[in-house]
Amino acid sequence: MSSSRASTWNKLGDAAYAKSEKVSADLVALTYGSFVREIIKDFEEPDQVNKELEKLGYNIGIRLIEDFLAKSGISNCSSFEESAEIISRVAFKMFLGIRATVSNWNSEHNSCSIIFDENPLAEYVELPPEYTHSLFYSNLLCGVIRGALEMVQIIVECEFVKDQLRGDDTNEINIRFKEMLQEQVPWNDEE
Amino acid sequence: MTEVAEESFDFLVMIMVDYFLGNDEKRKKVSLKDDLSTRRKVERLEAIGRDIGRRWLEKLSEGTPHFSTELDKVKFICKEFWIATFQKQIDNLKTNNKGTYVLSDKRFRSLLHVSETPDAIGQLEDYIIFPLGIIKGAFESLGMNCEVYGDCSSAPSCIFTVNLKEQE
Repeated sequence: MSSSRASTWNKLGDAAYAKSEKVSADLVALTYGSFVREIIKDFEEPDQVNKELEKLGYNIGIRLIEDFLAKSGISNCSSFEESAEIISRVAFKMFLGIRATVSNWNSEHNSCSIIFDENPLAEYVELPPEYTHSLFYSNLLCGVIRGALEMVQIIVECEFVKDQLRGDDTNEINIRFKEMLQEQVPWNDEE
Repeated sequence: MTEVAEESFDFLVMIMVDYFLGNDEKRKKVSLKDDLSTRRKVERLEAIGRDIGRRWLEKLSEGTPHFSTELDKVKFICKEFWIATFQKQIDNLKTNNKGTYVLSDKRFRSLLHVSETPDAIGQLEDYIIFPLGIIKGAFESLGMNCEVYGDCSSAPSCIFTVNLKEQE
C-alpha cells in the first residue's frame, strides 16, 4: 500500500464526510439499539440474531454501494487489498464519521481485519450478561461490507472477532476473500 | 455531539421498514389497512418510533429551561426537535387554539428519497409510520398526549395534524 494512495483515500473520505448532511450519532445509536432489541425479541437465540443482523446489513450494502460510488469519487478498484483500504479509509469515514484501519493480513493476502476503536452504533450500550459472549451487537456492519462488495463482484465473508461490548480492547471485523466474479460490470458513477 | 452521515440513518430506517412491514414486493400485495396482521406490524413500527421519540426528546431538551406554555412546547418540537431529527425546521405552523396543530414540512426528510422513486409512490405512507411514531413520542415526552396524522399526498411535502387529547 503506497502512502500516497492511502492519503488520497483519507482525503476522499474526509471530503465525502464533510459534504454530507449529518445527523446526531445519538439518534442513530438510539434507533439502532431499539431495532436490535426488537430483533432479539423475535429471534431470541443470539446466533439467530447475529445472522439476522448480518442479513439486514447485506440488504443495506447492496443499495449503499451506489450512493458510495456516486459520492466518494472512487471510480475503480483493482483488488481485494485495495477494497479493504477503501472501506476503512473512505467508507467508514463517509458514513460513520470514523476512520478504521486495515491490518492482520494473512500470508496469502486473502484475509485481513478492519479495526476501529469508536463505534457510533454501540454508544451507551451495555449488553445483558446472557448476551455478552454470544451476541455481535454491530453484526449489521459485516452484512453491509459483504453486500456492498458483492455488488462490485467481490465475494467475501465477514465476521466480528473483537467487540468492545464484550470487553475487547477494540472492534475488529475479519474479512475473508472468497472469489472475484467474472462478469465485470464497469464502475460507473455518472448515472 | 458526534455526527454521522444522514444516509446512514436513512439506510437504517429503510431496513427497519422492510423488517417490520415486509419488503416492497410483499407490501404491494396487501393493502396495509385491510389486513389485521399487517396492521399489527404497522402498530409495532409506530410504537418503536414513539419510544425512540420520547427518549430522543428527553436528550434534546436537557438543559432547556422549563416550557411555560403549550405553544412553547410545540415551537420546540417544530424547531429544535425537527432540525435534530429531520435536518430542517417546520415551514409552517397553524393552530385552532383548541388543541389542534397543523405542521407543514415542504420537504419532509423521510419522503425525499422515496418520492423520487416512481415505484415507491404507492408505498409513501409506509415511510411515514416510523417518523409519525417519533413525532408522537416527542409530544408525549412533553406531557402532551396526542394523535398525529400525516398527509403525504403531495410528497415530499407532508402535513402533520396533531390533535391533543387533553389540555395540560
